[in-house]
Amino acid sequence: MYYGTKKSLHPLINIFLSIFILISGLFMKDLTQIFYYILFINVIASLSGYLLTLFKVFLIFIPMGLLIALISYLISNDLSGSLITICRFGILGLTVVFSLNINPTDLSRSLNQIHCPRKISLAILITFRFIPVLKQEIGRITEAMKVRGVKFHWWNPLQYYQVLFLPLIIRIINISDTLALSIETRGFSVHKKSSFYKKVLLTKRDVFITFLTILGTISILIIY
Amino acid sequence: MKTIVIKDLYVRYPSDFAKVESQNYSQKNVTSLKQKSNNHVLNDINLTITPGEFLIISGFSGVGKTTLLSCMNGIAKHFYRAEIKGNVLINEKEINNLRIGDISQFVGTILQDTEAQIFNLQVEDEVAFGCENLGLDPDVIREKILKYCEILKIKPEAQINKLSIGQKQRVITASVLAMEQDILLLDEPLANLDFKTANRILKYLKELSLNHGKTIIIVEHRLDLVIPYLTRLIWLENGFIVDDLNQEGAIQKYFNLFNHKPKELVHESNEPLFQINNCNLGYKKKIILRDLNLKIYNSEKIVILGENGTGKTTFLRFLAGLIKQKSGKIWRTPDLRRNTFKKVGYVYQNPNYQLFMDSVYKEIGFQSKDETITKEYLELFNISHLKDQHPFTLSEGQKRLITIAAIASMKPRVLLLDEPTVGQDYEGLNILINTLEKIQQKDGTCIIVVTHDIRCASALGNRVLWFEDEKIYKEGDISLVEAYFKKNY
Repeated sequence: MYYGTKKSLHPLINIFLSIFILISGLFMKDLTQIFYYILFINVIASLSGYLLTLFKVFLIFIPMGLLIALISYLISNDLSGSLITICRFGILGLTVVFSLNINPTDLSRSLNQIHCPRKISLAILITFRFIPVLKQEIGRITEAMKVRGVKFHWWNPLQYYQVLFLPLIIRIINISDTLALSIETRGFSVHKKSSFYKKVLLTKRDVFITFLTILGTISILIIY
Repeated sequence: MKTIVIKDLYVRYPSDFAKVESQNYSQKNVTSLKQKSNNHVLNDINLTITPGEFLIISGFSGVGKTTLLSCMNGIAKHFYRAEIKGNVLINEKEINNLRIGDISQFVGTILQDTEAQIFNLQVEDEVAFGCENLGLDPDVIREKILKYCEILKIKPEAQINKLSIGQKQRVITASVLAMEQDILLLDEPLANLDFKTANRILKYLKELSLNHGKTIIIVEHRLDLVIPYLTRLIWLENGFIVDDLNQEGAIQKYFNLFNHKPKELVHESNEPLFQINNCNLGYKKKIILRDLNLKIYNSEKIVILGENGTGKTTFLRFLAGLIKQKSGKIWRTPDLRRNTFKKVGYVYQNPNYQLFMDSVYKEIGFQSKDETITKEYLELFNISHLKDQHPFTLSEGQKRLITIAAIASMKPRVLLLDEPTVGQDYEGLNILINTLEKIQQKDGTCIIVVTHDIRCASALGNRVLWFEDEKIYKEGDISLVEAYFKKNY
């Protein structure tokens, strides 16, 4: 899944920020600290042009966090602990925001630029590509079955297996085969040197946002 | 420039695949060939293909056309692990000793399944991929992207996931053409293309072969489309080359194999099945079809024509109840409203999505639940000999026929067919058209077909809808088919 725009940050910066937010989030212990941290990262994500992704991710992560927090509250009767749980889900959601804005093609190119073997960069590109393909294939097969008069019932898992799972597996295998063939027949070879049509360069904005994130995170850790 | 020499070639797949390949539609004159074939997919192939040839490989479904092509780019040997006896030489070099990636430095290949070949998000990235692998300079790659996107009429900055299947076919074609290899192997490259684009590509390929000495080898069923361009036609039957003809010979023997005149239309009732008033159709914010005003009646046979991306599939999805209009109103007869998915049968462009049973017999019988109906439809579509086969082991043309039979056996009041003739040889095409006519006459089914196929467009309907510029550009009788293909030639 890729929600990015032309203004997305450099893919390696997106990866760095995702990991950085996840790890630094683990160091935030106090509720106030976590709250300010989330607020700060929201500002960073907005500055990076990821407002729409933020909205979509929070639509999924906030209800999940609320549910887990409710369960945690019912078990421990600790309100502050439950609120921290919600906030931690928020931090997890924020890491996803940056990951979802990685353009797979640019990522593959930037990995090549830092001399990562093309075999690996291409594998990453295809893996990224496969997530929306999987989603699309599930949608198409479900729709195609509906058209053939199949009705899905939760009490009949065997039907899901036969009507959804099997065609999906066969289709995925076919796509993998064709894709692998298409890559080879279009000249890909690990033994040959390739060129890069476009270079993905770091911009001043990338450096500024990375610097600001690191500085802000350290400040929150020190001040609160 | 490179010469291809194939000497005493015999190919056999290591599994039961060979049996499947040999069970094809063509029942004419193949019994003796079958006995000789000993489960080989290809038998006794001897060919010399010189630079500049425009060669078409044709024949009925499942006779080994794709296998022959895949022997010339190493796929049969290295990917499918086929047992290969004999030699395939390109410039006296045995290509089965080379890796696919190395062969592709001078042999370009377009595979069948368009969508599965694409993995980039943007058109220019997909076109650039092959050139990057050849190690070309970025400025040269840029030039090639612009050149081939212009030839194929696609925007380099377009997002691939927003393109129609025909437009995706253009992207993959541009990607292979941009590599500019000496030999081009194309497996049904015109299947999803509109007539205008198909002709544009064929003209360009002809120029490549004529003026630049490139060898063009195409597997194609639509002979009417390719015959004006070819220099040589090879006709395969059950893995044997039974005809090797020049253009004149090909015209005499294989032109206009299909000849079918539709019967006159008689409206059974005055009440329409669908009444569409001022409807706009589209996805998200994009409008694809505007101001649709249309009535569709029982027993009608409608052909929808139009270039790639003009909203033909969107219109079928709308009639099938899979998408809703953005504005306007659609009225459906109560019977269709109550039971949309059973009463409006929709056969997809890609048959792989609608098959899920482990035999053709079970596939047809899935909804009908009645053995008599299952047998009736197996016979009607002339697929009784495939009844025990797993649908996924059949050729694309055969799979398409099975999905049509499976959905027709549900006896819908409306049958929507999206490119049903893709991958159909002339025999399959005749069976399909005759069967659709029988179904329409017997059950009064309204049949609506989207097609780019010049071979049979006029045989598929009595009423024509021509989509262009986000609307129904013209509506009329069958004479419109000729006007459409004339305009787009």
